[in-house]
Amino acid sequence: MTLPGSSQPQAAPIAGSGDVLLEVRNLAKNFAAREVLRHISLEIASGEFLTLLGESGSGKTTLLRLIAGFEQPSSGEIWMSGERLDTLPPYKRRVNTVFQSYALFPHLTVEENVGYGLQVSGAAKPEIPGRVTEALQMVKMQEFATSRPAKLSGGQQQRVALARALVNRPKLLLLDEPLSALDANLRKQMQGELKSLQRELRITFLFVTHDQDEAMALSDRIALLKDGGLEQVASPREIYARPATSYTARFIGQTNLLRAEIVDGVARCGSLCWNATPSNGAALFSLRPESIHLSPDGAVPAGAVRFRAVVRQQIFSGSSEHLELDLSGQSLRVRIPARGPLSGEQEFWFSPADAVAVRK
Amino acid sequence: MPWRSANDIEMYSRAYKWIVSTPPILWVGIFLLLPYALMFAHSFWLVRDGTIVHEWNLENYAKLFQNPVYLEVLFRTMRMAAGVTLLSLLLGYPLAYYMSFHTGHSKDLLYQLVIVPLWVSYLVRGYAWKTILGSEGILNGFLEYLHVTSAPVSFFLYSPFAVVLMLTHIYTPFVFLPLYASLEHIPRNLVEASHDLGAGSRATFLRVILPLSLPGLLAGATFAFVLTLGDFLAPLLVGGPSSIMIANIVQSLFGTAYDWPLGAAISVCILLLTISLLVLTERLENRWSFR
Amino acid sequence: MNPTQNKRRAFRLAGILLACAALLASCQKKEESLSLLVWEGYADPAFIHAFEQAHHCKVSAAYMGSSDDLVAKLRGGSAGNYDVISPSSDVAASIARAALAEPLDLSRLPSYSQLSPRLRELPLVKSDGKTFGVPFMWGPNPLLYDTTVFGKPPDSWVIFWDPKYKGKISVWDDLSTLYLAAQMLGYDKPDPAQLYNLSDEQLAAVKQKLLALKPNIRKMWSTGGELTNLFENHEVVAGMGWPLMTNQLHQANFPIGETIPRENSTGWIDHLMITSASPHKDLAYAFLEYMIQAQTQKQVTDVTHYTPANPAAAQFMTETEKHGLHLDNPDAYMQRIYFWQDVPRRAKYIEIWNEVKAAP
Repeated sequence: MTLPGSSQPQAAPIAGSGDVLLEVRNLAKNFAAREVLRHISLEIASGEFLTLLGESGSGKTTLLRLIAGFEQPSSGEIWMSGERLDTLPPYKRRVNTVFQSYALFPHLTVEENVGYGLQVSGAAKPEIPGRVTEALQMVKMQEFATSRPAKLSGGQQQRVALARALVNRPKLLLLDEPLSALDANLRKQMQGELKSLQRELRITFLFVTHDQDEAMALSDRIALLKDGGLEQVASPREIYARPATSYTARFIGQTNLLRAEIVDGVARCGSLCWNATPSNGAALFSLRPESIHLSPDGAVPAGAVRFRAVVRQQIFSGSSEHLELDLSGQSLRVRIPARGPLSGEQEFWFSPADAVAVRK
Repeated sequence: MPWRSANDIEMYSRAYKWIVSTPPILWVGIFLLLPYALMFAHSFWLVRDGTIVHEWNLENYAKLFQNPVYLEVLFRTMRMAAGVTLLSLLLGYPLAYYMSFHTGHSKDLLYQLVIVPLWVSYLVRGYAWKTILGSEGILNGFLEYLHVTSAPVSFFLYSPFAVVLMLTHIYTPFVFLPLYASLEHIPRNLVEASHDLGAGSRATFLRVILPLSLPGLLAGATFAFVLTLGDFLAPLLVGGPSSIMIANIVQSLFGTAYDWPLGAAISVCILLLTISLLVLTERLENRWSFR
Repeated sequence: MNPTQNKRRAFRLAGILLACAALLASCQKKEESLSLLVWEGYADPAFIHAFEQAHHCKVSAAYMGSSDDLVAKLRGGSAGNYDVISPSSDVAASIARAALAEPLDLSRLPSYSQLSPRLRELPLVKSDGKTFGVPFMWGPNPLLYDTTVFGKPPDSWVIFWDPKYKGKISVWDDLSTLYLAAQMLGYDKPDPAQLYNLSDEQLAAVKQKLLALKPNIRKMWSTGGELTNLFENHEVVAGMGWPLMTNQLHQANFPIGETIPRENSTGWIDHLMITSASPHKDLAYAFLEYMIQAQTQKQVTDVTHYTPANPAAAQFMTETEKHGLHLDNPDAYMQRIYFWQDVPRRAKYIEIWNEVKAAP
C-alpha cells in the first residue's frame, strides 16, 4: 500500500503484527480560517504503540479527536480494518479514549464507571460484573470498586479511566496525554505499567504526548507533528539517530546544527570538512553532542574529522560532562563520559557518518 | 508612626471583626428574626373586639384544622405550585439544555432574552397576560380567526389556568437559571466520554447529563414551588372567583379582617412547610452533587 | 496613629453625617403635606389642585379597597401615616369608638351647618356628645349593565343568578355582596337593619346563596378601575358597582346603564375624619372645610356622580344634573337605599365571605 502525497516523509516499517489497523488518508481540519491539521496521512499497525508527539498547538490532540469522532474532518478519510470510520458517530466506533483529565463520571462508583460502556452498548447483563472485575484487577483497583472518583487520587483515577476504556475491548485505544497530570515518580511507574499492559493485551495504542522522553520510552513508533503537519514518523531509535529535519533533530534530544556548504561531495563548515553525500549547495547537518569525542592523546580513528576547540563551559552531571565549545566563533555542545576538569584548547573528533544531513 | 505594637494590631483586628460582622447580624436580626418572632408570637394571641389581645392560646391553630377552608386552599395552592413547577421544568429544562449544549455564538443573546423578562415588572406581565388571554384578547381573536372556536373561550382568563400560566411564565427564568448553571458546570469531556464508551445521545442524557443536573433541577423546582406557594398577586390579577391561594387568605386576614393572629398562624404553617421543603431539597442536593 | 485619635476621628465623622442628615430632613420639611386614605374619586386633581395652591401644600392620596381595608390599615398601626380618611357608614362608628379619629371642633368648619340636617343628625359618628366626622357624599351600590346586552334596565338582581349570564357577572370583593345575597333571601324584611345583624342560620343560607352565584361570576373586582376594565373588555355584562364607575364609563363612551332594581340596593354615607395621630391637624381642618363647601361638593359630584352632603351644591347645577343626583327629591331616593351600618359581628361576616371566595 502506498501513501498518497509524495511530500510525506518516508514511514519507518511498522511494528506489531504488520496488518494495518487504522489508516488516515489526507486528513485536514480547519477551525474557521485556522488550519489545524494539514493533509495528514498515517497508518497504524494492529498491536502497535504509536505516539503522536508535538508541542502544544501542533495538532496532535485534534488528530486524536478526529479519530475518536469528537470532531469532524474538513477533508480526508479515516479507515479502520477496511471500514470507513470518520462517517460514524463516536459511539459506533470501536475506539476508546483515555482522557487527559480522566473524565470519570462523578456520580458513578468506580465499578459503575468501568461498567458504563458495557451497560450502554448492551453487553449481556450476566457478563458485565465479571468483565468489570477483570478490568479492575488489570489496573489493580478492585478494592476501590465501590468508591466514587472524588475519593481517589490522580493516579488511581488514571487507572480507573484506563480500565473503563479497556473493558470494552477496543481495537484501538486513544490516550490523550494521560500521564501529564501525575507527578514525576508516579508518571515513570505508570509508563511502565502502560507499556506492559499494552504488550499483554496486544491492543493498539495511539498515545498523545508533548513529552519526548515519554514518547521515546513507550513507543514502537513516534509521529512527530509540527504546525498541523507530520514532520517524521519513525521508531524512537531511527528518529533519534536519523532525524529527517532540523526541527526533529532539535525536538528529539539535543543536537548541534552545522550549516555547511557542499562542493563535490565535501561538506565544509568553518574549519571543519568531511565527506558527504548530498548534492552541491548549502546543507544542514545534525551532530548529536555525544557524537563528538575528546581525544586527550591526539589519537583518532581513521576517517574521523578532528578539530581543536576552546572549552568555554563545563557542567558535571555525574556520569557525564556537558561541554560548550567555541570553534572559531561557532558554539558546539558536547557530551563525554565524566573525567576531570578541562580548560583551554582541546582536541576533538567526530565520525562523518554521525553528521546527519537534515532538511531545514 | 512607623511601628505598631502587637496590642494595637489586636485592637485593629477586633474592631475590624466588629465592623464587618455587625451589619449582617443587624440585618438578619432586624429584618428576619424579629419579624418572624413577632409573627410567631401573634399566632398564639387572639383578636377581641377589633383589638389584638396578648393572651396565649392555641385557638388559631385549632381554627386551621376545624374550618376545612384553610387546608383546602392550602392543598389547592400546593397543587397549583406543583403544576407551576412541572410546567416551568418542562419549559426551562429543554431551553437550558439546548442553550448549554447546542448554541455557539448566539448563547449570550439567548441568555439575555431569557433574563430580560426578569427586569419587567410583575404587574406589567400580569396585564400583558390579560390582554392575551381575555375574551377579546389576542389568543381568543386568533382562535376565532382560524375558526377553531366560534365564541371566546372564557377559561383562558380569570381561572386557575391563567394563574398557573402566568406564574409559569414568571418563574421559568428562576428554574432556568440554576438549571443552566448546573448544565454549564458539567465538564464537556464527560459527554464525550459517554459517547466514546458507546452511549448515544439519549443514553448520554439519561445516564450522565440528567443525573449531574439534578442539583440545579432541584434548586429550580424549589424556587418555583416555594415562590408560587407565597404568591397572591397572580390570583388577584388573572385568577377567577375560585382560584384564590393560601397567600390571598393570609393577605385578607391581615389586610381586611384584621385577624393578625389567625393570619400569623397560617403564615407559621406555610413557613414550616417551606423550611422543611428547603431542608429536604438541600439534603438531596448535597447527595446529588459530586464535586 | 493611636486608638484614641482614631476614635476621635470616627466621632467627628459620625457628627458630620448626622448634621447632613438633619439638614436633608429640614430641607424636605419646607412644604407641608397632607396624606389621605380615601375612596377612589375623592382625591381627583379637579378639586385637590386648587386646595394645594391655596394652602401651599402637597396632598397625596392612597385609595382604600374596602371599609375593612381601611380599618385594618388604621388598626395595624398606619394611622399616623394618614391625616384624613373617608370611612363609610359601616365602619365610621367603630373608628370613632376606637379613638382612631379626632373629635372635631365644629366651630372650625363653618360650612358644616350647610350640610343636610338629616345626615348631620345620624348618630353614626357621634359618641359622648362629640362629633368625629362630617358627612361628605352618599350613594347606592347600583346594578351596572351593558346596554347592548340589556335592552331595558334589569328590574331585579335575580339576573345575577340567571344561568344565561354564566361567567358574565362581576361583584365587589366586599361584604356588600354578602348583604346583596341576604337581600335576595328576603332578610331585609321587615327591617333592612337586619342585613347587618344576621343570625348564624341566616349567614349559612347566605353562604349557600353566594356559592350558587359563583358560576356566574367572571371576576370579583376590588378597585373601581378593575370593574370599568371588565366592562370595557366585554368580560362582563352586569355587575354591582358605584356611580363613579358609571360616570367613568359614560365618559369613555361605553354603553353603560345604572339602575336600582326593585329589591333596592345597599348604599353608604361617606364621612371625612381626621385621624387622631395626624401631625397636620390645622391643614386637615382646612381640608375638611374645603371639601364640604358647596363649590367643592359640586366638583366632587362631577367626578364621582355621588350625591353631595351639602344641598347648597345644587345652586351650581342644571335641572338635569339635580334630577340625576336626586337632589330634587332626596328622601324618595334614600328610601331605595339600605345604608351600610355597623356590623357587630363583622369578623364572622368576613369569615363567611372568605369561605365563599375559597370554595372551589
